[in-house]
Amino acid sequence: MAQLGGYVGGHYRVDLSTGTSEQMAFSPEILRSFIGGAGLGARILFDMTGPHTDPLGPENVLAFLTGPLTGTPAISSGRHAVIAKSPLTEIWGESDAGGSWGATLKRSGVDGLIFQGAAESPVYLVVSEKGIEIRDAKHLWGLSTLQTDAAIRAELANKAAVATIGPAGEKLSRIAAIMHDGKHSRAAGRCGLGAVMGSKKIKAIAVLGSRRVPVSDPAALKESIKRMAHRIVNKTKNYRSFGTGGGVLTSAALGDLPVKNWSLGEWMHGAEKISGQKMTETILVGRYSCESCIIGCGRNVRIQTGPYRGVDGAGPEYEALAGFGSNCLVDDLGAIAMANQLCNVYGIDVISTANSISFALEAYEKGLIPTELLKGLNLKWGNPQSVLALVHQIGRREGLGEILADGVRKAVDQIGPQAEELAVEVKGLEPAFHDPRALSSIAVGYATHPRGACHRGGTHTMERTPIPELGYEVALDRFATERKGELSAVLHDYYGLFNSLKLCHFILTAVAPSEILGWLNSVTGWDMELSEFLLAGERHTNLKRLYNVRCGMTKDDDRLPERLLTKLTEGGAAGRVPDIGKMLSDYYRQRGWTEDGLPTPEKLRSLGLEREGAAVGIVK
Amino acid sequence: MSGGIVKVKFYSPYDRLAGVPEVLIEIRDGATVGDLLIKLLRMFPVLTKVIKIGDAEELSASTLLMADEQVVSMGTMLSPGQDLKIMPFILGG
Ligand code: SF4
Repeated sequence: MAQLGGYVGGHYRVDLSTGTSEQMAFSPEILRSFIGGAGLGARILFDMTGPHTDPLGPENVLAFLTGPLTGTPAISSGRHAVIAKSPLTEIWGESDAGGSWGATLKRSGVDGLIFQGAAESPVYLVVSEKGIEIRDAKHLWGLSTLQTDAAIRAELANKAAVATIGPAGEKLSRIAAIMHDGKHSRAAGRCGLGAVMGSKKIKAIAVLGSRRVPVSDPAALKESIKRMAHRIVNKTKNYRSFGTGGGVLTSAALGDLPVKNWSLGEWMHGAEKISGQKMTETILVGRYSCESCIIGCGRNVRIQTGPYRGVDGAGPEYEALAGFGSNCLVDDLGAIAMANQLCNVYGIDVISTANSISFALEAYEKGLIPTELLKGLNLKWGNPQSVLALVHQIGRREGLGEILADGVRKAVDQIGPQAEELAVEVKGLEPAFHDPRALSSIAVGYATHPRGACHRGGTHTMERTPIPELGYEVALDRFATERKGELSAVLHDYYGLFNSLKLCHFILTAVAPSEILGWLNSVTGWDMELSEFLLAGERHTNLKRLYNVRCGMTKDDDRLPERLLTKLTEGGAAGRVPDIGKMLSDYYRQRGWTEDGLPTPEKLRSLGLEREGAAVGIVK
Repeated sequence: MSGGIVKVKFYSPYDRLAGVPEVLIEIRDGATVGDLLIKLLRMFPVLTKVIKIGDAEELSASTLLMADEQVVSMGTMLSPGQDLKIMPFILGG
């Protein structure tokens, strides 16, 4: 049988309790059904963990998974997924990162690493063509992510790509991130997977390799890339020019930019001071790209004078600018760049951290935080020092940060139910900074995404980008209810495929599904039709749903917090509230799920998920 | 009726390219956003590099046009007294 392109040598299961590793073989049929990345991750997590798995216990799985396109010349394919049962949400946990780590892992001859157990004392791993080595990391424990990256790279002659946790992951913060690529930071930030890594006492994973990823039909792949490159560059040029932060102005104009813990709708004057455009004019010193990317949205910034002197490296992306900026009323770009850098250094998720801070500012203003938790802290909206103090406290798990370091839902448990209305989260995951009142499909997207309030379901960018091959010939009105539930279902599957192939979502507006499938077939040697490809995406979403149902999730968890269903009085989304009930019904119907949001036995059979359906009690 | 004035507000980097933060443009009755953009690009030819009115799909992918909080496109009719915001379109991250 011809070698399957795109996969390099196998997935390895590493048992940290025994210090051993073994190859985990996935049959060609499984690979074709689940592809890689988050799709294969769904299969692994479903099989190896369940409702009784403690996310921070040794029985949880932590998997780093590339896709078949990772490490190939396919545009923007230098990505990998990280999967575990989430300590933040206690359901399906998924995050992903760009940079060079995933492609380097594949060049070492490894498609994925699946960790179980826990080491007795801190370790780091070196994965290379020679094998998997577990090394002592006591000397690294307590170091920041940047210090760890530098120390390991020095030990390995500067040749390694490093994934590491910071102090927050060590202290099991449920919003801890896994950071990659040192100063050119790329974070697997969402769902608190840095805490899972910390619970296993893995400080870092260094990868080295120089093998080529086999491509079944390199000429066809090259030809397709050549044809599409110009279009991709052209359609994404604003990302290159201004980074994702260029979206601050667009979002502010649309009413999509959250303001003052999601309570106000207008902040255009502030947005102009913190936008990606302003960054380009002031503190930008360079740009960087993930491997094989021709867009280059990464920003290098530097501040050499004033209160934020010392900012040097990865600049704030849209989420940091919105989260620490508009949502905390801070219009100081230098302060936001510092807050962003601190998140990277401590290893905490920017989105969850910033939401926790805006929550705390409002709770403080309303007098809800018990004085003994404040320890003299004086918090004010729009005050950079308040924000920076809280980032430090969260990163160190000190003071009020001890509570905020586990996200807003757990903070409400500590502060009291009167803080409930200020906590913006879905299934325990704080939302990315896009407001469903401005783009209604985000409402159903947040409510139903398997990992909680996730912006990677695609709807906010795709409402105005028709994809005829997915049945969307025309752009949809941003406030409309009609077709948004259906669109979200289709896009959750399609975006999910990107997370399985490991492609960056930013090329989505420039490519057609059949073109992406062309890349997959050229790389692997498969002859997949579009219908089989899209069915795989549907399979992945359904399996993640089954995982969550088995963990106790019900239709009642497909909801939005009251705050996001409250009309804004000004700005680009004033007076609008999404009709979440109707969109949810449409979403379920599009999926062939029951009105209670459960996949039907027929649906599961059509997806080849009878065994998993039986495990959840749906298929008899 | 003989038309009136629309205020166009440029956002970065279009303000820098145009050299002014905003401009008042006279429109006739029944004028569309497209009519206004043609006038605007005649006044500020440098903006033709970034505002591509010849290709509706590219225009919508790269530029956000909002009149009084409503997203508008080339064919949208304008009324005197409206404010038109123009900025690069980026949504994501
Ligand atoms: S667009 Fe940005 S995030 Fe995506 S692959 Fe390129 S550099 Fe990485």
